Amino acid sequence: MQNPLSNATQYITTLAIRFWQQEGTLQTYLDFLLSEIDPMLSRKRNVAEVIQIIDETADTKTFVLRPSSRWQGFVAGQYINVETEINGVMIRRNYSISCAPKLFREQQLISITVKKIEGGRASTHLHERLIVGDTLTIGLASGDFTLQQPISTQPPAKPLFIAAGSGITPIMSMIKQIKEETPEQSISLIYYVNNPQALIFESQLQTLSKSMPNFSFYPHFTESEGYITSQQLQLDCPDIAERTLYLCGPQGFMKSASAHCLDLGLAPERMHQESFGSYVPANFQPGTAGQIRFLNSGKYIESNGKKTVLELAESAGLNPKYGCRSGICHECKCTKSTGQVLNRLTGELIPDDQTHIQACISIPVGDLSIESL
Amino acid sequence: MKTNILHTLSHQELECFGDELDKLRQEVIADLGKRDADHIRNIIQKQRYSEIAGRALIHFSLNPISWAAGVGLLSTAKILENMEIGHNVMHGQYDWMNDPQLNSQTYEWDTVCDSESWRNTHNFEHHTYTNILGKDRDYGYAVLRLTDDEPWKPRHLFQFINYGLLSIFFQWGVGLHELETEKLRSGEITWKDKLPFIKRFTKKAAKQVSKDYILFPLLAGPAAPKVLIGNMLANLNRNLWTSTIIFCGHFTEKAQTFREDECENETRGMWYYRQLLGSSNFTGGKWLHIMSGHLSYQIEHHMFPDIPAHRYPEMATKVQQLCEKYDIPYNTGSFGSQFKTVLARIARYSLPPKKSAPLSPSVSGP
Repeated sequence: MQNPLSNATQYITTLAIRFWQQEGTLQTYLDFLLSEIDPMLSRKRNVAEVIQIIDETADTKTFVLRPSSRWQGFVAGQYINVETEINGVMIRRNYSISCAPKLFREQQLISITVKKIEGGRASTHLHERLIVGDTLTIGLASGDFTLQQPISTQPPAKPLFIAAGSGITPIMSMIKQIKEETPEQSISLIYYVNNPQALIFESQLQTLSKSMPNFSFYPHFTESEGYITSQQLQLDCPDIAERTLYLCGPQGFMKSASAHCLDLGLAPERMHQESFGSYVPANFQPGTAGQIRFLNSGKYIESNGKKTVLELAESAGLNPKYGCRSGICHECKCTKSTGQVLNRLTGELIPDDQTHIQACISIPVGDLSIESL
Repeated sequence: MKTNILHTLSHQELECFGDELDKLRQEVIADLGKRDADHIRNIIQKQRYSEIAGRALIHFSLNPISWAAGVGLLSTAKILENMEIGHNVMHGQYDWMNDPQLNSQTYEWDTVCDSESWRNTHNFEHHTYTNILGKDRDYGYAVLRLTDDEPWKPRHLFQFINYGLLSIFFQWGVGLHELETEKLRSGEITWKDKLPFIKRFTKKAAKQVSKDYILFPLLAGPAAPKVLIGNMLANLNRNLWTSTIIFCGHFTEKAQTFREDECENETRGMWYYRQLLGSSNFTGGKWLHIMSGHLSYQIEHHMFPDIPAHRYPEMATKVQQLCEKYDIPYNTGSFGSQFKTVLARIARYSLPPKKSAPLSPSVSGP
């Protein structure tokens, strides 16, 4: 016969754990008190303090941030989701990290470089209102636009970076990483801006090109030279077909640049692009209904085959982490235990064996169980 | 107390009245911003401090005075959370802020009433069919007779007891509202139909009960009884307060009821007009309004349920001006006087109708 006292202790412990995990009870209030003392102490939000603001060009600023100790670091080329409150409305935007990973490793600092967009609420707010000492809520670093590790059996392909405007930011982080790790590596940067005044990181790029013997930097000014052409690309990088391309810039620029590169013989699998533009949802048909179980909380909810895992989790009373809610930032990534989901953006059926899914764009097809959210 | 003045305004006047209210609504929506966000965050901050301090005092009190202060603070926190925060957030008043913590569809409040059930019974049924007999199930909560349109039965003689019990257990009454016991009794629906609701309700109620009556008392160890009693009293205070506020909003002497046929093919202007006639306000200081979730401005709340409630005082001035312009009654008075008329109404309709003297007072201006 079991000891009634140990049964009671077990019951109390289980109850306490359940309430600890539940929104609106102990943890919420503890986090509230910690945040009241200092926002950086929050256990639920990633908060970053603005340490320094640097004017890069007339309309571009770099914000040096110190994330709270919970923040987990980044890989060069990744971006973060930045949350700002403008006149009472929460606005979230993704910004590439523009510093080298070393800065975070050694000083626990990161930087984002933001171009002020005409009529852009978030960028205008950051430029005009944000001051040193303010705090921002940020997401964890995300994104696959990172330097490809060379496969050991093959000679590494030389990187070619093509950027336009503020598309230089993730590339800057990558070049700085190369400088730290393999400064002798042969790399090229083709950078398109409107005019010399719009050249972001000009002095840093000049310094890098001096300190890295095999770094070729080709700035181009569209106001005087016109838009990107195959001939110009060929001139700047005659061995383009042998390169691994990293491309980042406005949508139109990326479209024509990638077309020229393909024309010049670059293999599509060696082309890596970054875009923050909105995705066009694929033709999506409402799926099959089922029951969704959230294993770590014990909650479950019925799915009608239309709502996403994130929406269902929230409806079930959970408070999962999320960022952009449109499949970009991966803040909501969760671990699927069993079941299938449909990718709302691509219409792709994610198979049973893929465990990590983005809750905000995954629609359950039938029964589904989520291990952790 | 059925209206016979609903159509005394001409169709054109009603539409002009509606247009002017729409214009007022648009003006406030265009002006929503930091002031509103600061207001709700400020209330949330106060509510949280109040709850933390209240629970701490109840747990660690060394004398009855500090314990009573704890009960008072916890009661205040629960009232603030239910009224100015929960009720208003779930109406979508702060959805425009894009803050997941203040989203109407995901907010869960500190009461046994499941928020999904509330969104259905309150936001939809009550706010759409306000005071339409047979459609608005909030009218008398199926336990009180408050109009001669409902046939009198001997059991109504004791409806004051029902009112007392409903107020004491108000959160349970609200939580179980979707059960539709009157339809279950009449056989219109079966228990099986209500199974999904019962499951949801049981889950939410279990969470609430285990929080206030198991978890926190157990955390207090030997002091468990005083925590249990303190939490119980805080819930009771909240129940009595919310019940009183809500009764003052729709069951005052001059608040009118409507027949379904009166509201057929209702235009926007007529809808506003019905909301106005079916609701009643009460006056008071800033904190009385906040503690009532601004339901002291029930008229404005019913006209503009998804506008942040702290805007109602400034909107009320304009609504009253419009009422004067169109010669429409605007039902308001002090909290005490309005509550007295609620009690008088419950008492009056405990008795069978007298044919010689009309029970309904004539409706006149404010």
